[in-house]
Amino acid sequence: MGELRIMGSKGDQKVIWDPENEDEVEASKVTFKSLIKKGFKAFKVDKKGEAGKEIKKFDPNAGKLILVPEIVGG
Amino acid sequence: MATCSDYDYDYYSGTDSCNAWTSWNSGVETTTDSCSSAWHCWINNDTTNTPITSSVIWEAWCNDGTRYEVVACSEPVIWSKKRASRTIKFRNRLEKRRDKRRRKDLFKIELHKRKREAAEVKAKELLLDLIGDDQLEVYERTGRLFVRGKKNDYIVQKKGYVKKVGKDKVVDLCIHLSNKTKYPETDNVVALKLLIEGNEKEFIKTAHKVYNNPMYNEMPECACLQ
Repeated sequence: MGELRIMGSKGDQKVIWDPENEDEVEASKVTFKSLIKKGFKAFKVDKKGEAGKEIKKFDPNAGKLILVPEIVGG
Repeated sequence: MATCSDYDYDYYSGTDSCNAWTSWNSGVETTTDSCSSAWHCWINNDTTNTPITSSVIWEAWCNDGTRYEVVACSEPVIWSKKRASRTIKFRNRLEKRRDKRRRKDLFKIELHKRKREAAEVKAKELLLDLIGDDQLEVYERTGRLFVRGKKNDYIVQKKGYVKKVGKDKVVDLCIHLSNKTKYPETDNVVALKLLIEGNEKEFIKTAHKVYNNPMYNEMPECACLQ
């Protein structure tokens, strides 16, 4: 199962998909793309404590992805 | 002795105002000719200086002594009973409306606070997935998270600057989520941790350098610092 965690003002929102279900994968891909367009950054995370990796394209087999809003300098 | 000040501060209502008039008219009370023209007219028993329509109280006492009253000691204004009652009702309604608005505002503030707390709990759950129970406990206590980048080490704080720990100095960096106050504080920490680990180059490029501090004599306690 794939999991997308999207940060928001009410805490993160979860989007789950089954990599074998094309419709779910497609819907998750659309969500992913629309958020990246808005300036979100996507990070692939695996096990606890392991460093995350930034990804630019949606990978249905990525496992867990965290989408964070735009980051700016103060 | 009845004086003008008595007129200002006494409370007359209904037939009482009529009694006052009767009492003054019959000479029970002694009066002095030292006040307003209306008073002067009453004690001289004529209306030459004061037209009958110019003073509400004068008109009332001349025509119907029971229709008017002084509504409040602090306000020497004479109202009709109907008008006074309307004013009091209006004031009460206004006060009720203000109370309602105040309660609504307090409710909104409380609701916002609870929503923020719930969002913070969710953000901590997300952090828990990344660092584990023990380290989350340290983070909750200190508000600091140690993040190892490829080039430098960082201390990401729940409140305040990110500390870049170099070889011989500590640099304060100002970097955060755009529209930071909209998001839970811990989401800001998670986002910075992910950016440091995933793209340190961009993190350094985006961050604004604020202060150069001397190196820590001892590293402060923070989560994930082994």
